[in-house]
Amino acid sequence: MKINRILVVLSILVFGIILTSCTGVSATNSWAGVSANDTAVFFTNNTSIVALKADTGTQIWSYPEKPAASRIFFAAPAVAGDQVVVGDYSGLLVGLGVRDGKELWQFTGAKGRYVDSPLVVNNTIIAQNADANIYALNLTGNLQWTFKGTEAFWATPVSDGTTVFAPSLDHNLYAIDLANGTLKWKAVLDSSIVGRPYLAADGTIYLGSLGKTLYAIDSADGSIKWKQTLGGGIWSAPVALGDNLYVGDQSGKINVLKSADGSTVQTIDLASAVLGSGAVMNDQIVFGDEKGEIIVLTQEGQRAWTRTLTGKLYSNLVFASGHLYVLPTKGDKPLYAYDANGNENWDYTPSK
Amino acid sequence: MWDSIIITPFINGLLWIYSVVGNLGVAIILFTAVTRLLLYPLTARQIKASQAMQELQKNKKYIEIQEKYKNDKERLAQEQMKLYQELKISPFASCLPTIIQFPIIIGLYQALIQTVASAPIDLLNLIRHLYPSFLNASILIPLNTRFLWMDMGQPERLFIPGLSFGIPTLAIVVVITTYISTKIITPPPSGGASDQTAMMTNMMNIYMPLLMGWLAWTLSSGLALYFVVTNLIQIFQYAISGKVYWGNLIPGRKPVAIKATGKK
Repeated sequence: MKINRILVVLSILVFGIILTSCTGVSATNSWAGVSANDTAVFFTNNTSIVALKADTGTQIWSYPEKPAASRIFFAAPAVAGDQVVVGDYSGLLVGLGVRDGKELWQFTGAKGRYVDSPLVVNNTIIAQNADANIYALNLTGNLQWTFKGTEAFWATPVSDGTTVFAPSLDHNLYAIDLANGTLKWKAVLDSSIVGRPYLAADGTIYLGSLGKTLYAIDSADGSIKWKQTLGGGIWSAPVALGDNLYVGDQSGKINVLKSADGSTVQTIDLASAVLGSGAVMNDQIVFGDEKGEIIVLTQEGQRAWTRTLTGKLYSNLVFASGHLYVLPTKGDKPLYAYDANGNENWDYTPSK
Repeated sequence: MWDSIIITPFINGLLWIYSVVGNLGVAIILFTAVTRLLLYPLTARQIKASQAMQELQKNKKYIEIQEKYKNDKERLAQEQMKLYQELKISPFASCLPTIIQFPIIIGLYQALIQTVASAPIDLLNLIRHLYPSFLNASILIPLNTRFLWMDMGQPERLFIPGLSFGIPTLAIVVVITTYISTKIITPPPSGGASDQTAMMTNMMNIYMPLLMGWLAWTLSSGLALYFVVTNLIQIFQYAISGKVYWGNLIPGRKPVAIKATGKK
């Protein structure tokens, strides 16, 4: 009798586990982010944020002290002077001491996920959230203003120091007054924007949409200067070098376009989705693709070198202080550091 | 293969309905109803077969066999098989439709999960599941996941002014409807049913609603809505089959054992 009772309870539990496992609720439903200053690199590693020494990869600190499944970090931390600002998937935004990772403040006002890094500009933290709000905070985590959109804000905005340019999944690019959060203008685009914009020195905003369109928009009034249709959806910011823009797309191509008019200079087919943003590395451009390949291109579009890692390279690549930081998703290790010639400087293995 | 045969068509079907109605909550309700309707022939066979098994437990000969060979399991099984053949009943007839339905229900469940993509990799997977010539991802996304006070991609809580916490109303409805849907199909114990069977049925009636309620409480409200609609349709389907035991829902009422029939 007792055995039967146990069997019934066990079978119900197994049913529950099957259903739960069918939900696809896994820790990996986004890709990690990395940022760096002169001496350290900060990256998100699922349930924690890790700070490493830039020259050796030695761990400096890790936050939180006791990682929990309820706090998942994917958005790259933003480094702002003596603090690191990072949001998690539970809607909590924290300021951490850059040297020791100690929590300085918390902001609990958001109800959605922080998918990408906050922007820090003129001592104001601009934290875009999937709850369709943009929160502006001072450097002690106090709310200054809130801008309400209609759908989730994923990508990190850009700013010229007076205006915040924030792309949204609601197909709009919003220009918001940095001082008070009021709307200056909005540009209605063809589809959702999940990648970061790039703001050029001449005031042109370049950004791509999931609808395969790359836009050049005048930051003064939101008018579209030009637009160009690419082969696949665009998930990240274009990279500018010289007179050209370099942007990857979901169809597996790196598109080289003239910044001035959007005309195609060259298309390099990698046959594997390019979702993360590339990086300028000295006078070269580096991209990562879904099959785990790092590709370094000369300005003429020739391959300078390639490396292949296990895992998928979805994250934005970052080149800082002579190190190229690469974060494979579902790879053997969460972070690799290369020099500009493709030599591996170090990699990071989490302590067990 | 699982993806291309089950999940991808389900996702496209669900999002096609969404493209017509413009609301994910409404699309989930309609899609669940349509799927259940398509599965109805299997469900009807299952109901019929399980009713035949229930009738069998009231059969005088069946009860006699149970009593006579209660200490000889092997002989009991042989005699039961003989009786099944005599009465033209297949003991597996009620299992087969369930087995066929199970992967479809799991697929439906997975399709729902993947549709309420609220993170980049989820969104990438969703876009890759769409038939490009059938649905345009760039127009569909972002999906309108608001339905009444709920966000279909998040666990449901109803916030009432004055209360510092949200009430998981959908989870409560899931518990109630699961309890009703399991309770009303449980026949009163017959002379042929063993104590163990009755005990196991009672445990299922208690633990199953709690498990479903817990899933509804922790997972996205889109799934909880799916559970509710499934339960309601199941109750309706059993009701039209005419074999429901509404009396089981009256609290404190002890079930009256069904007397053996004279069928031989």
